[in-house]
Amino acid sequence: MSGREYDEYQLHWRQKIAMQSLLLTLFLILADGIVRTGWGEWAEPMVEALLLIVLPTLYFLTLAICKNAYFGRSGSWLSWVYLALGALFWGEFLFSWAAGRVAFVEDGLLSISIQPLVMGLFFCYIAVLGLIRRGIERRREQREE
Amino acid sequence: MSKSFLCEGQYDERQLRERDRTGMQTLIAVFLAVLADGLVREAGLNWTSPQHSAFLIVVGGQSLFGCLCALRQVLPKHPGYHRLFYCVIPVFVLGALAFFACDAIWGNFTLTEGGQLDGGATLLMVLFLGAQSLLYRIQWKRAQVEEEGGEQ
Repeated sequence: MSGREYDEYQLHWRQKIAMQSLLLTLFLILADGIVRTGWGEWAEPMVEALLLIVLPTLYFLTLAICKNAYFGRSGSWLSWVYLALGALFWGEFLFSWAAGRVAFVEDGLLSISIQPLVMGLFFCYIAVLGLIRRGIERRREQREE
Repeated sequence: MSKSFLCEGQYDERQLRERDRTGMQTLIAVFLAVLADGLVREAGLNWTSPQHSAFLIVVGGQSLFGCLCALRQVLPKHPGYHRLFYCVIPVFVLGALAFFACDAIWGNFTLTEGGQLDGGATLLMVLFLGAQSLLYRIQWKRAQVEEEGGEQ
């Protein structure tokens, strides 16, 4: 994290939201551990890890973008990169789907074949949220001018 | 943001900033641990049971956060927190270590079973907590000495 990339306000919010995300992550891991103890495995190891990382990251990014603390000075193009990544993952998912390689549940466990779907949704969500935020900012600046 | 999350009165401005910065660093470490655990288990190396791995990451993450906070002199002023980390957890850790030692002498303690961490996982969790409370005690005493030196 670069001090020059973000101003004081942004750094303050990023760190505050990260702290909340940490608590959420620990809670989710604990809940996952309790579920696995009581009811057994529910997903393949990599899907489980993916969801345990993606959910708190979504929380962090949503709040950071809403508080205007996500995009730094040089990050205005990031939403388009995320959109492209989202489209790539969606493409991979659709090809796998067409080839009949996607199974949401295998042997009673959430399957790793849904990974492109999860990543596609993740990147598209961030990109759309970032673009909406940027649009709102631009309108506000125009009104002020 | 709620007052309870900010812990008003518990930390000064510097401590609040440091706490949140430490939270961000710990979050990255926890993500890496979750990813590493997933990759290792996907590769078929079941180093511990799934339940133990989850609890180890939670306790490890919390202890890492506590240790970093203590090292950076982010010590909350609440007497309950102080009592917990200064007295309760050290007593619990010593009790647990004594229990493990007796268990090992009687031959019931198994560090690993079937190639997986068994009692070893619980021992690691206890050690994480012990390291955290030890660092807290050292830093708290140092803070007290500095405070007394400042007053004189």
